[in-house]
Amino acid sequence: MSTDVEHQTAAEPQASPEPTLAGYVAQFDDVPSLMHAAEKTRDAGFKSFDCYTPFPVHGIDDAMGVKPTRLPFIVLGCAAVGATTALALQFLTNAWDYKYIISNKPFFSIPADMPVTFELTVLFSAFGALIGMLALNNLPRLYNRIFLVDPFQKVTTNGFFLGIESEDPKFHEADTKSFLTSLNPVSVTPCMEPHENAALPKLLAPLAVFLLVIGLIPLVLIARMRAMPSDVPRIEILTDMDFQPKAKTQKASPVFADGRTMRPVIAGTLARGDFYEDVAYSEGLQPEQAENVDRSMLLPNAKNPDGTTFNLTTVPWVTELPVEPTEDLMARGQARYNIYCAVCHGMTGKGDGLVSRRAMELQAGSPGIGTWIKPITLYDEPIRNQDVGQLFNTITHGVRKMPGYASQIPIQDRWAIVLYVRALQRAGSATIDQLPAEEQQRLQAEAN
Amino acid sequence: MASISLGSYDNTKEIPGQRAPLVTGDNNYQTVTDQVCVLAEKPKVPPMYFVALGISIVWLIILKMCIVHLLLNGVGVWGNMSPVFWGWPIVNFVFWVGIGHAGTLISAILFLFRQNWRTGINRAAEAMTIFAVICAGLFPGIHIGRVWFAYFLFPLPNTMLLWPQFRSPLLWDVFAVSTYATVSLLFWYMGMIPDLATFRDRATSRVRQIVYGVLSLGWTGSARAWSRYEKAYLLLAALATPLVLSVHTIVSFDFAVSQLPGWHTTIFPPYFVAGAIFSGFAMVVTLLVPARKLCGLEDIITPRHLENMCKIILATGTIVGYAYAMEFFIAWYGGNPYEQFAFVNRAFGPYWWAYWTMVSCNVISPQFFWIKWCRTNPIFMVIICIFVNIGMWFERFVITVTSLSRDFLPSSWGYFTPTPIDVLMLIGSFGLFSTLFLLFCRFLPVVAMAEVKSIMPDAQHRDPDPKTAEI
Repeated sequence: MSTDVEHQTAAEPQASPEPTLAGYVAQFDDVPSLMHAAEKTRDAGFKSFDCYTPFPVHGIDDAMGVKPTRLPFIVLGCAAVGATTALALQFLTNAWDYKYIISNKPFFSIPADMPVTFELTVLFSAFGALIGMLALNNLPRLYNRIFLVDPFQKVTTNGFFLGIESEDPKFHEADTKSFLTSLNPVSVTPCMEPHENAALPKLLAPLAVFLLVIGLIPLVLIARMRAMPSDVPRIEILTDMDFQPKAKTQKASPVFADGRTMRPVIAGTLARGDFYEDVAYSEGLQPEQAENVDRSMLLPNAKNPDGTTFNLTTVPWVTELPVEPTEDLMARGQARYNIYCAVCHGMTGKGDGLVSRRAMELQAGSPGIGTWIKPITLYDEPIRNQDVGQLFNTITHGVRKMPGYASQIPIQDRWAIVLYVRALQRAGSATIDQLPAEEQQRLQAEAN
Repeated sequence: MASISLGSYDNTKEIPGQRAPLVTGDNNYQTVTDQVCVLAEKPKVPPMYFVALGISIVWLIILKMCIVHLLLNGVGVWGNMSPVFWGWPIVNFVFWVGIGHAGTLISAILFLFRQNWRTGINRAAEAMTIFAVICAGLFPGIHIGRVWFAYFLFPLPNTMLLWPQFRSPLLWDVFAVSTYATVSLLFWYMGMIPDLATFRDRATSRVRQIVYGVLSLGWTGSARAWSRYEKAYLLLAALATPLVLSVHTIVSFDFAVSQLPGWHTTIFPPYFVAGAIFSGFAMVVTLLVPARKLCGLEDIITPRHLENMCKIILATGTIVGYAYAMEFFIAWYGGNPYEQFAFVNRAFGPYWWAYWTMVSCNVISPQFFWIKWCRTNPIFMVIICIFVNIGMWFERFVITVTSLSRDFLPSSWGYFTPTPIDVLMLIGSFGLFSTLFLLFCRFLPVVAMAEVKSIMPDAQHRDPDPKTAEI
């Protein structure tokens, strides 16, 4: 009784409207008599028959000669797919596409991936078990002709049935009925196959198209709204802090008489931390001449009024460090230099820092594209001759490509760096006879 | 057909043939079906049902209002604040996930162990699982603050081409809880297909015929289908069994994988699982004692069922008590001063009241079930089970809040205080839970009828001598 009705009517579209016999259904009293009947039917050689019970009766599949199901293999396959999906998902997302660096842990590690793998394996297998069971049982079906047999409604309460289908090769209308009667059932009922016109109603297709079109209208409207410019602001259901009550740069403000949000500095005031009485310390300028210096000319790439580059050496720089050059300051300067300067200028000031070397390498691969200029060697003659004030100014404001470091390095540290740069210059430009005598002897011995 | 009378049967007898039957009274297949269907088919539902539903819906509405309030104002409406950023929402989450465990345990583990007494209660317990997981999923869902971005939890490439971090226990949680919810739903639904077919065949109105007809997927009760169905059920049970253990294990990883004193322990997975089963069974008893009255199922959910559940509550409650003792022992034996402080602080610190509520509800109250009267008197067992549920809620509170409020640095200590919204949401989640459960009682088969019939004496072709046949 489990063949598909659509299948049959599709095969013979000109079927008569009269119902035809599809099989016989016998009702039994209890489990033992059904079991006995199932054995008899199996032994009689019927294949297309089935028993119907309100609950699973153990042993009836043996009585009917049903082979074990292949469902476990379907579930095993689903489990393999689930495990592979989970591992692939975790590998592709966390070890390949977006690598999370966490405490030097490996990007792909099986133990950490186990929970998700286990869960997805179970999930896929569970779907495999349910959907596989339904598929093997030809479910879901909304129609089954056996439901038309009158006492069959009892099957889910307390009815025990055995049905033989007419498509069984051994089926013969009269013989099968008498065979079933010989099994001592409560009743034997014919199961009829009603044949009605199985074609879809003519109105259905245009109706479906119409409903589809109607259903698409809201989507089209949304798509249009998203793509077209509009005069009205968009509707914000959830603003997600897009708008906050705060004063923004260049916005008008009703709070002040002049309507400006950004407030100018009040005349005669300085921001906290901006004032240093000692210009030699804070700017590296000679205190007595600092008044005449145009500070805008100290910025990198400053131009004279005639367009030529301003010559910084003409500024009245301090020539002596305005701080006490101690051992500690030197060590501090070395540390700060290695943090901030060495990436470009190199640990020895030769201009071979890692950033510089990488930039040169990239530029060598694509000539004409990069604009990197190798930093000048710090113990070259022009730099060596610069006053300490000018070195300080370069760290503060930058020069050419180099940005100013005033916001990152406090004044005291800038002077420490200047002190260390002086040490590097001294080391880099020294001659052999300036070394102490024992060093000279050691070098001599090494050379030999 | 099968008709049994209670007679001189005794539940405590260990000889299988002389135990009380699982279906008492003068019942056969027809009367069992009639009893189970009565609340779903009766045109006049008992007024108590509507009273219960009304109260539940009021709390459900309060929960919804709290959620709207939360969404409009942000998670600041809760008491979560430095240093306790994991407050009640996480406590409620772990509590509800734990409640869910009994359902799958009854369905899957007891099925694998061939414990036939599960058939009377497994459907309601599975339904409880689904509804408890819904309540659980609610809390992390709204805890993320901007609920409309909850999809960020799933492995979808977002606009920043960033993926979720698969080594985080919080992400494992997303997979574990959603898998658990899905598999429990499949298990529940698959178990219901034959019973929905019973509803379909008994339906008198067209609407019921269509709805139950669609839901039962054309089930005919064919023996070939039953054979595959049972195999699928067995496979699902075998899959769900490790799943039950894994879900709460992974929930415990949220704590155990951190480094906080009191959380960073290997006892957490087994201890959380035992606690989950403990609280889950307590909830099943709390629900089924009134439900069997309401639906008239005293013959199917018998004192033997309730007694068996009380025995499991006693066993798991004792495991939980052992875990409490072992935590203290390891804190001392491990020699870690932070760990030692965390546990002394739990018992004698500012949250001593929560700790001792937990211990008295979880360790002392189930010990009453050693006494036979206590585990056979429905009223008394419900009272104990309510205490167990209170205690298990406090256990999660103690673990979460005490460890966070006093960790390594005394300078960052704090005291967690819940807000009224916290309290209303916890009670509101019970409203959601009981509303769903009451609707389930009204519209779906409360008892797995086909399974109950299959364990009735005449159902299987067995030894004809009733004195030796297993019942």
